[in-house]
Amino acid sequence: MKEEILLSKSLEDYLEVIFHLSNKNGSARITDIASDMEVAASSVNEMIGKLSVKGLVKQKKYGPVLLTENGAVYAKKIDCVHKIIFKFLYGLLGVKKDTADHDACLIEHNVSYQTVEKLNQYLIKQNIIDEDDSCLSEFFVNNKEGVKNMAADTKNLNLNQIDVAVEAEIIKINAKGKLKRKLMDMGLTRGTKITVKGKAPMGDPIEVKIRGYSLSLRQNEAAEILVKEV
Amino acid sequence: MALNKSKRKDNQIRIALAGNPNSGKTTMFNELTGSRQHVGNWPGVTVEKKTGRVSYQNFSLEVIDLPGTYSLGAYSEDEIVARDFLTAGDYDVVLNIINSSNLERNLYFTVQLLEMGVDLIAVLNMADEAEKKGIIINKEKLGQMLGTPVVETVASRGRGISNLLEKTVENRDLSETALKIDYDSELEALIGEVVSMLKEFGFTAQISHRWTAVKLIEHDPEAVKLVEREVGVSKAKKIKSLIAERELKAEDDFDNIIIDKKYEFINKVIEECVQRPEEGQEPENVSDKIDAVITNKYLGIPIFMAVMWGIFKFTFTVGDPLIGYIEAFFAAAGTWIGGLLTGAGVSPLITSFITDGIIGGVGSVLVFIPNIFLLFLAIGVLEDSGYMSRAAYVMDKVMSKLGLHGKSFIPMIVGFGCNVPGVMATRTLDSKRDRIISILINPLMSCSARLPVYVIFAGALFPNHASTVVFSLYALGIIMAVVMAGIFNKVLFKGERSHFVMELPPYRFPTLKGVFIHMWEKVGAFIKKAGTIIFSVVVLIWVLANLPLGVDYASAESLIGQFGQLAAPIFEPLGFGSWQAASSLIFGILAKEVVVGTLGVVYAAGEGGLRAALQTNFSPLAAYSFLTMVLLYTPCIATLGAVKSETQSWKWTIFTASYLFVLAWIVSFIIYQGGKLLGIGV
Repeated sequence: MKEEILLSKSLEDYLEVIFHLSNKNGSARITDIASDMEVAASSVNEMIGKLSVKGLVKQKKYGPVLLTENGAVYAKKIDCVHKIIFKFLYGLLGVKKDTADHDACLIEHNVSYQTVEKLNQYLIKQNIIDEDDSCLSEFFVNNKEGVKNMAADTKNLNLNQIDVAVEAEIIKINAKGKLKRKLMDMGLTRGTKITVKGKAPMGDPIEVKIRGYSLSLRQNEAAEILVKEV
Repeated sequence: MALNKSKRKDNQIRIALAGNPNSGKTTMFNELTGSRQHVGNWPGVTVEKKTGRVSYQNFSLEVIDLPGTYSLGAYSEDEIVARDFLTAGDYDVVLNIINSSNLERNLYFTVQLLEMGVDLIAVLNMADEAEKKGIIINKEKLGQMLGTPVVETVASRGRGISNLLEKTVENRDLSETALKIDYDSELEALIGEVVSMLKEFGFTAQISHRWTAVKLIEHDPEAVKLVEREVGVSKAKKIKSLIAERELKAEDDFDNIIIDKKYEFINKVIEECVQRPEEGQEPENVSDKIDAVITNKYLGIPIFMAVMWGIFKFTFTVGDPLIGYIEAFFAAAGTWIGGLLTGAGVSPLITSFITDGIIGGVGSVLVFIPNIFLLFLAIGVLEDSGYMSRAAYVMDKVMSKLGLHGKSFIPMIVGFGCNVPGVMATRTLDSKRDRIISILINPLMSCSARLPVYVIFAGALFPNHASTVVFSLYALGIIMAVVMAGIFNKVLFKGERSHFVMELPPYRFPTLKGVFIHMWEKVGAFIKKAGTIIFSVVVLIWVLANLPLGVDYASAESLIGQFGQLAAPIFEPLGFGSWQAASSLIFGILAKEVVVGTLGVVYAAGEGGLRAALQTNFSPLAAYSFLTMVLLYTPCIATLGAVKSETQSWKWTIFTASYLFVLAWIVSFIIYQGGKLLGIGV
C-alpha cells in the first residue's frame, strides 16, 4: 500500500507559501520563504527537507525551492479550500477581511472534504461562487475519498517498497547516526542508482546492487532509504 | 605525513596493508611474507594485527596486515584498529589494496587516506577479475588524479608482486601532499575558519589541519577528542558551536555534503580513468547466477542446513578419531614418563604432578585441537568462497527474531560439537553486542563432551526412554539459549541496535594456501591464549585433589572432596545433595565428560558397577535434574579460556561462569521440585 501523504499544519502552510511565491516568481527562495513566514532560514531548511522527503518540493543544492507536480497539486488544493472558506466567512458572513483570511488559514487544515463540498455547493447557490469558476471542481470531481488524498500518488518510495530488478535512484537517506553513516560510507549517496537483486528466503533481508557490488540490508534499514523509480 | 615514525635502520622499511574487506589484502599479505609471519598481539588493542617480514634487494620489509575496513569512520573493533594505526603514522608506506573490479567503492577509502595525507601506493589488485569484467583502467591517469604511485597485481597468482616490492622500496621515503577535495564554497569557507581557529588555539598535532577541520565538521568523535585533548575542552567547544551554527543554516547535514563530494570526486576519477563495457555488453555475472540458487526462496534454507550438517559431520567424524589418537598418545606418554620417574626414584607426588597435572593438563588442551583445526578449515573455505555472508543473509530473519545476528548461527551450530571453537567462531560478528550475546549463550549448546554423561545416566535410569531423554536435553539447551538471548538482548544491551549492512562479495574459489594459513592462525591463537589459562586451572585442580598431603587422589578427604561436602547442601533441593555428585560437578568444570570418570572414582565402581551405583544413588527424577545441571551449569575450563581470550574481559568470563550456574540451579530446582509435587519419577 502506498503511504498516504498527510501533512502537518505547518508543512501545509509552508507549501502554500511556496505555492504563492512560485506563482509570483516562478520559484521560491529560502530567504523569501523565511521572511513570509517570519521564521529563521534554518527552520525553513528543516521544513523544506521534510517536504522534499515527501516528494512535494525539490531543491538543487543551495538553489531555489521548486514544487514538484505532486507538490503543486497539493498546494493548489489547500489554496482552493482556503478560498472557499474565506469566501464563506468574508463574502457571506461578513467577517472582517483580515480575520476571515486568518481563520480560513486555521480551518483549512482540519476541515473534511464533505464540509468543503457542501460549503461550495451552498456558496454556488448563494451566487458567491461561480459554478464554472469553482476551484473545487478542478480537483475533487472524481475524488470522494477525502481532501487530503489528492497528493498521495507520489512516485517516491522507500527502498523496501521497490520490486526486484527495478532500477531506482536514491533521493535521501532518512536513517540517523551510525546507520546513516555506514550506508553512506558503503556508497549509498544521493543520486546513486540502486537495484533490488533479490530477497532472502523469508523476505528479509534484501540484496541490492549498487556501484557495481552486492550489499545486503534488512527491510527496516531499506525503509530508511528514500528512492524513486527511474 | 608519517611524522611519527619510530627510528629504524636505513635498510628497514615498515609497510602497512590497508583496504576494504574482500580486496585480497590477506592474500597479498600471505604472498608477500610467505610463512615468515606471526600473529602478534599488539599492546592496547583487542584485535590482532598480523606482521610478517620479507627481504627485497638489500632491504628488510616489515609488513603489517591491518583489518579490512570500508572507511576511516570506524564502527567495529577491527576498523578502529586500522584507523588508529593509520592515524598514528608509524610506518613508511601504506599499500592500499584495491579491488580493481570494484574501483568505485574501494577508492572511497583511498580518498580518505589521501586526504589525511597518508603516503600510499595504490595497489590495483585482482586485475584479472577486472579484466574478466571487461574493465580497463588507465593507471597513469589514475596516478595523476590521485597523486600517488599505482601498481597492478593479481595477488592470488603472484602476479605483479616483485614489481610491487620494487615500487615499495623506490617510494620508501614517499612524501605526498594531502589530496584536496573541493567541497563547495560555503563548506570551504567554514573549513578555512576552523583551520585558522585551530592555528590560533595552538593545535599542534602532526596531522593536517585541513583534515582535522573536515573531520570536525563531519562530527567525527575521534577528531573531537583529539582536538579537545590538544587545545582544551572550552576552545574545542567554540569550534564545535561555530560548526553547529553553520550547519543549522546549511541546506543539508554537513556529513552528507562531505560524503557526497567525496563520491563526486571518485565518479569524476572513474569517468576519466576507467573504461567499462557498454551496457548490455557486460560478460554475464556468474555470482548473480549462483546467488539465484543459493539464496533462493525455497532452496536457500535447505542448502544452508545441508552445508551446516556437512561442516558438523566433517569436523567431528574426521576429528574424533584424531582426538582418540591424541588421548592415547598422552595416556601413553604419561605412563611412560611416570614409569621413568618412578624408576629414577622421584617421589610419587612429583611424579603424579608431572603425569596427571602437567601431561594430563596439556593433553586436555590439545585434545580439542583436531576439531578446532578441521572446523576452521571448513570455515576458512566457506569464508573465502563467499558462502559465509550468504548463509548469514539467509538466516538473518530467524536469528534477528531471537535478538541475534544472521552470522550468529555458525557459533551455535559449532557449539554442538564443542563450545571452544563455538566461542571462537563468534569472531565473524562485527557488533560487540551480537558477539557477546553469542558467546554468552554458546555453552548452552550441548557439546559432544556432555553426551557420555547423558548416555550413562539415561541407560541406567531410563533404559526404555534413553534416546528421548538425551534428545530432550539437547532441546532444553536450545530453548534456554533462545530465552537467554532474549533476556540479554533486553537487559544487558538495551537499545543497542545492530545492522545488517553487509557486502555480499562475489564467489571465488578459495586457495589452499589461503585457507591453510587462515586455519593455522586460529589454531595458533587458541593454543597460545586459551592454553595458558586452561593449563593453570588444570594444575590448580590437581593440587586441590592432592591436598592435604597424603590423601588419595580426589577422595572425600582431599580438598576437592571437602569442597564437595561443603557444596553438597547447595544441591540438596535439586535432588542430589551427596558429596560425590557435588565433586563430580566440580571436576566437570575441567571437562564435562570427566563427570562420568569422577563418579566412577568416588563411588569406587568400575565402568559396569557405575550403572548400579547410579541406580541406588539417584531416583529417575534426581537423575534428570542432575543431567539438567550438567547441561546448563558452568562450562568447562577450555570454554571459559576461550571466552576470556575472545572477550578480553574477566568480567564477561566470570559472568558466563556464574550466570550459567545460577540458571542451571534454577531450572534443575524447578524440574526436581515440580516433579516431586506431581509425583513423577520420585
